[in-house]
Amino acid sequence: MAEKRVVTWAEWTSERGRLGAKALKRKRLRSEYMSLMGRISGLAREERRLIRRIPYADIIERVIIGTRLRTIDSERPRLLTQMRHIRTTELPILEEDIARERREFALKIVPPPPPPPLKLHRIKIRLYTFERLPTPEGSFQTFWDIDAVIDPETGLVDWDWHLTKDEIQICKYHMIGYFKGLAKWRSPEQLGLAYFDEPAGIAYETERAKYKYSKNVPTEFIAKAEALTVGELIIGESSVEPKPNPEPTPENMGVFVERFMIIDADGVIKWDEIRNKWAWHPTRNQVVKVKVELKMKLTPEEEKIRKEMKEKGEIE
Amino acid sequence: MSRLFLEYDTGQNWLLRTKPLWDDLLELVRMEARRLAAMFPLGDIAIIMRSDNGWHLRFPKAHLTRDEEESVMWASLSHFGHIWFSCLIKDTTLRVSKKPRKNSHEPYLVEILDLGEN
Repeated sequence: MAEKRVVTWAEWTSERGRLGAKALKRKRLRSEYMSLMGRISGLAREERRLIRRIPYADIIERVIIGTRLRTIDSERPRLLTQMRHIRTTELPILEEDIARERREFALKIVPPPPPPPLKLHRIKIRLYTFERLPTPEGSFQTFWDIDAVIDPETGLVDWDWHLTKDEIQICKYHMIGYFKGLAKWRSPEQLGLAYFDEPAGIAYETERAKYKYSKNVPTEFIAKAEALTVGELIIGESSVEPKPNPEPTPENMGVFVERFMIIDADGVIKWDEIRNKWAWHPTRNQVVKVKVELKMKLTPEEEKIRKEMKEKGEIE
Repeated sequence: MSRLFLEYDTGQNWLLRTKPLWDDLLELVRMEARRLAAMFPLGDIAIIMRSDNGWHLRFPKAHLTRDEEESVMWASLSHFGHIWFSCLIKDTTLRVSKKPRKNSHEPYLVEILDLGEN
């Protein structure tokens, strides 16, 4: 296949204009051919009418009819010659010319390169509350590692990717639950019940902690924490470089809690707890779905899961 | 290692005071990006995004240690409060969602600046 060439916009439009002119010429030639054909059939009709009239015509009229018939006979070959030239010479040459130009024209348009494949990364985010002071806003801060896909050229995260969105929701629920002291670290299906149902204290995965703030935390923060809602949390992306995750598994994907902080209006850190603990992992099926979506290589086990999911209609 | 995230916002920084509906002072942000890229190795592209009242400037291909990142931030003209807070929590973040108030939007991409000549 010939190599595609890049042309300027002006060249492209002038080429397209020339092609359009040729197509118009073809249209005119076809129209002319049809017009000649119409004239020939008109002459044939007239000839038939004249011949039918001969038995009823007088001698003078017969002479006139004979003259007209001779004229028709001489005119018909002239028209047929013109038509033959159009049909056998002009139109085929023009058709071939147009087809060639169209082929060249198509070659001049270089299609855009295929988009680079999205790659799975672990990114760090900060969730914080909205307040006017201190600057930047927020006294309740939490830091998390979650899964995301990143554009390799710009490094921009696709925040609308389904798993990222789900994991941010999980982070938000955990943050609210943590600061309210009412969190139950449950599976994602039970996140709706994650708080308000355990007034006794924070229930982590393995331990059962008491609802107790440090002495450094003023009571105003406890009051604020009790009024926290998911809707007032803001998401921030950390400048920490995202880590590629070439071999995703349920163990290395999910929501990782790094740190919880409370900072007062004067910028004094009132609470700083580094947890470094997994809060949630995706299921094996979710990982397979992500790998299929990102066109990653599946292990034999995962291939089996994919077939089962396909039979159930969970993936395409 | 870190990338470099900077915020150019209204507030103390009179030079970059901007109106929410106008893309004014974009040229100053471009100049700032080129200035920083000429002084430090920050990669070949800079991403300029529009936030509510200002600009976000990202250098996605910078590989900086935390100390280097803080040093470059102090050498920049970005928002003082943002730098101070980043140093306080030892992490730099830029907002990616909208704020829970009226007239707030998610920061959106305005320009990918090619810094190849630097």
